[in-house]
Amino acid sequence: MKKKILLAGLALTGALLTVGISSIQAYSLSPSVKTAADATTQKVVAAAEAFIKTLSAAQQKKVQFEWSDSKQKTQWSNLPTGIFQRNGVKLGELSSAQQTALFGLLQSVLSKKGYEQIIQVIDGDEALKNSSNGGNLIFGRAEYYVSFLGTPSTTSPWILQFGGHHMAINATVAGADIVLTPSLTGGQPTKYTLNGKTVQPIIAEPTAAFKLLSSLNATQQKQAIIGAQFVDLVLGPGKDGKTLQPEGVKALSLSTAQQELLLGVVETRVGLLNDEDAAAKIKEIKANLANTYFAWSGGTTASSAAYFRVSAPTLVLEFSPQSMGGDASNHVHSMYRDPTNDYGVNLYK
Amino acid sequence: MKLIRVFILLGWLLSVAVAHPADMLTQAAYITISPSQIKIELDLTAGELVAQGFLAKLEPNQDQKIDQAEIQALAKSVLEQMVLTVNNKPVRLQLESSQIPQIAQIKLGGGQVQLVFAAAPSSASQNQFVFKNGYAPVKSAYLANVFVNSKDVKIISQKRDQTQQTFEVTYTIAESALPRVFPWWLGLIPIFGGMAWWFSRGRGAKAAQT
Repeated sequence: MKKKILLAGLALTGALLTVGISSIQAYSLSPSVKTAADATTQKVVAAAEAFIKTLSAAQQKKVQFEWSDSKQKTQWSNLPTGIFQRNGVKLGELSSAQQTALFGLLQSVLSKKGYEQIIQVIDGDEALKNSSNGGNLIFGRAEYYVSFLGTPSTTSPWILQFGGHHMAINATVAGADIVLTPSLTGGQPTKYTLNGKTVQPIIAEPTAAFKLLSSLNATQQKQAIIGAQFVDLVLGPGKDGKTLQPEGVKALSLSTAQQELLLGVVETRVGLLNDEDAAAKIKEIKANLANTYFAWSGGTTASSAAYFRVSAPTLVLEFSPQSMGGDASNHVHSMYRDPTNDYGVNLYK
Repeated sequence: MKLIRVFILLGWLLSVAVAHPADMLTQAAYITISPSQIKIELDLTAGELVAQGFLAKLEPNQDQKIDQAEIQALAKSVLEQMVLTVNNKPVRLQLESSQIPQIAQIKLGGGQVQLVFAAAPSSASQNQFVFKNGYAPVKSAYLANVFVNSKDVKIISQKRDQTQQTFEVTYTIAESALPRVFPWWLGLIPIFGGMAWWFSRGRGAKAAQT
């Protein structure tokens, strides 16, 4: 009898331990989202599942990372292959059908304008590959990688990573919300010809920012201009968790028309995301407009290569021309962060 | 002919410049203020056109390895050219940590050398720091930005010179978060107390003998 009680006790303890450990694992590996998935998220999840389904078992293994893989989460850069190694599956390894499925996924996450920009930047890198011998550096369309952190789902958060030279799209999908922070965009060349047409993937951002700068009066410009030279990104790759202190001219001191121009600058970057999720972000930025700042560093003529930044409680945008000994505006890096919600940390528990 | 080759090589290098200012050493200072410490993270990224010049200073023996002595020598060179004053008083900076990339990465223009220096905090509530970075082993571009990691620290103003080599910041630290300064003379109390007890004990013993 005693033996039976002892065995039953051991079995119960074992069962409790198993349930406890698996609950802890489930909690740490896949936290739950705060909002129920909406139609956009359902579409994105379906597109992700459709893409993964096209992959071979070996490719599926390469593309998928644990949600808790913090090293992979920050494994992004502006640098090309040869100097920075990304993980996942690269475009060059995908068949035409697989690429179509991947582009379908990107189209579901991004806006029409955002998707076009991504494709134009990739085409630009292909143009760079064809116009130069990169030596140890590998440029071109084939060198853009895709990977997932966590399994695409409507009930637990996951991240789509898509990146290559001058590009790091980190889209966190969590319930009804999709955020693109942190993401790096940019390009080289910023102007090229494809099929007889001139392509300028990055033109909207500096044009909108220069329009705002030009609208400022002397006093406002004095506040906005923080330097005479363009500078590098402050919060580029590897700079997670840092919050810039606001600088420049405060939106509160701008006229309604100037505030609209400032929102125009913001929309060029936030608008890369699909219309529904971008609208939610713009609404949040408008609510914080009084505490939004615009700063400029560099020349003040239309043709000047200049750095600019928009900073707000939930937003940091940076635009930085890169000095190469030639025209710096032909090689630019742009950074988009949310100091409170990079990688969607606020969207799950 | 040689000149043509040089131009071709230069043209190729410019055409494939990949990242960061290619013809400069980017020196980005991330200055973080907390009530208990001032930390300066200095990130040095040499563009591919100046990488060899920077490596010559970083690794003078050219053994293709960057050892601890070379890191210490680099930190020393930087500190000789870098000044931090808080409320007009120079503050002593000490190397706290470093991260050194592979030499191959530096040569390609993508390797970031990171030096982290730390200094004691101010014990005042109203403060101004001036950071000056004069380190220039090769042609350099400078960045300086301030960060806080405590709600008790508030940045009031930021001012830079045109090259961002000089950066002035005024800031406040909440009174409640200021480091408690232990008055040095309080340490004398137990010493004098002990001496007084020892003397009184000696006198007592003498009195008992007589």
